[in-house]
Amino acid sequence: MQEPTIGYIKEKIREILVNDLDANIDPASLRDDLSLYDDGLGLDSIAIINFIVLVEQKFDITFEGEEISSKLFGNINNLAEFIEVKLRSQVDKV
Amino acid sequence: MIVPAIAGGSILCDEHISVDHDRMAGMLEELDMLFGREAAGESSCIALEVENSVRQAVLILYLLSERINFFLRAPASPVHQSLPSFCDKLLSMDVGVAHERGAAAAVRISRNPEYICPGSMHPRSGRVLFSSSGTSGAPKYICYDGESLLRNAENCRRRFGHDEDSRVLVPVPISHMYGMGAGFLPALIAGASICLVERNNVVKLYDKVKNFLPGMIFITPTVARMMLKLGKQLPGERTYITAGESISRDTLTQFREKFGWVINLYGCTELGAIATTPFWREDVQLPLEPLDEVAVRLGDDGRIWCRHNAGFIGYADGTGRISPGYLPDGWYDTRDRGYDAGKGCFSVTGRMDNCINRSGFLVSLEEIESLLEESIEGICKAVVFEGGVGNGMATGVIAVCEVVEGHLPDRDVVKAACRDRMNKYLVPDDFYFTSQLPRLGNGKPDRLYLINHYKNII
Repeated sequence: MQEPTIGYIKEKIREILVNDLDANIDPASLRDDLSLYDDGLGLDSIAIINFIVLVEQKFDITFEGEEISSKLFGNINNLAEFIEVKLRSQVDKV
Repeated sequence: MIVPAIAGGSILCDEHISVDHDRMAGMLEELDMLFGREAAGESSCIALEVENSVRQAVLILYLLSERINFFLRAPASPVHQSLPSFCDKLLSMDVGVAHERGAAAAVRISRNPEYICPGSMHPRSGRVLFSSSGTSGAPKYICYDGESLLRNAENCRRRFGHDEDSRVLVPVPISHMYGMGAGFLPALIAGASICLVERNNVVKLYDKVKNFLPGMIFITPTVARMMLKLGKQLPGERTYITAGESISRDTLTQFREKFGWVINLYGCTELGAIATTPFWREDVQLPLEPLDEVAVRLGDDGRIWCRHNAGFIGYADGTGRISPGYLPDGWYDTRDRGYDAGKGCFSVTGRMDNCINRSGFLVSLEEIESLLEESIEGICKAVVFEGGVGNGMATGVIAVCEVVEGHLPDRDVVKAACRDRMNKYLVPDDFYFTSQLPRLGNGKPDRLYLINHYKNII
């Protein structure tokens, strides 16, 4: 099983944010270091939960309670790096 | 000082700073000098926009202690919305600047050009005013005496069992009665450690639970549902206080199993905390037990009346004129309905009218409907209801709108228009448009059908 590249993961996160989240996000404004919260994209509480659920579904991963943090879901860069490690550990197990 | 500062080993913290007893005393002194220099203490009433921050919490304590009148302006009020004319000054604080250079550099006090000197509000008369859910041209303001707020807090402190070892997480706005009267002040007067969270979301909540290790957390039913939706377990056991709209027994049971004790707090901005479900009992949906010093009775029609030892003074209009909110014998009509559950307890079944609690404000759904119909072009009829969580995705307040023929509004444009014309807490989360609403035989929109099938309405 081949692990996806960080670029692929970021692209997929962007797709979720723009196409699946129904949060009216302008793709042109979507930088990888932009905060997902009020000081950036402005995802509200409901949108953030939906986003986490969608990320789990699309990447077929599960975040543990201890892993959920503002930093992890702070921007696309942080999240993509975390997902990459998570996916790599799944591949290693296979 | 009528407000005791936090106890020796306790802290008051937010996302940026943490202060102990000595530091808080220093901040209060700093404010005292600032207010003396600006002669702000002699204001008729100071309007504040308060965030959940240490700096602003201390500011509230200072104003309460000095009995300086203040009005807690609704957060995120539309920019063009003028201040009530009983406020002579607007105080704003840049929390970021305050961290770097202290409160004196961060506070801006400006004059309200629409101020009309109200005879009823003398400087330093201890008035604290909250916003009501007024939606049209005549907003109401809920006026307290600061000492009543503290009595209210003492009622809660006793019920919650706070002491110096307690650790209380307050992620609900302290500018509202729930956050201030039930969350912040009771913990403060107990000398507990307090963590304030601004612009709460569930991710932040998880952060704070892991870092601050609270024993009690104040949440809203929406946050409870969001936590269940996320479904991630948190380490440790703690008590969650919730208030606002009702939560189903299923949701409460699931929440209890996954996260910990859930106590339902029943109250309103006018009276503060009235009753809670019992603490540390396995059954999640028990009747409400009035707080000490609070009496509740039910009318023949199920209407819930309350006589409170620490309720508001009355409703103020825009000029500060206060009208009483009680019957002459001191009872207050909560406009809720319920039933007697025996042994001095009661249960609430709903509103006498069709209202919901949103962001701490009692919001009439009918009023939102009227605003949409009156102020948004192309909408001729609107039905507004709460969506909750459905179909695996979280939703909020939903508006289904019948639009004039040939007019297909863009939901984002409509939402933006609403934000311009309505308070933020009145703006529906989502919109659906149709050329014809389903109707009952009497011609009224079929609300129940819409609640269950709104996503299929085209």
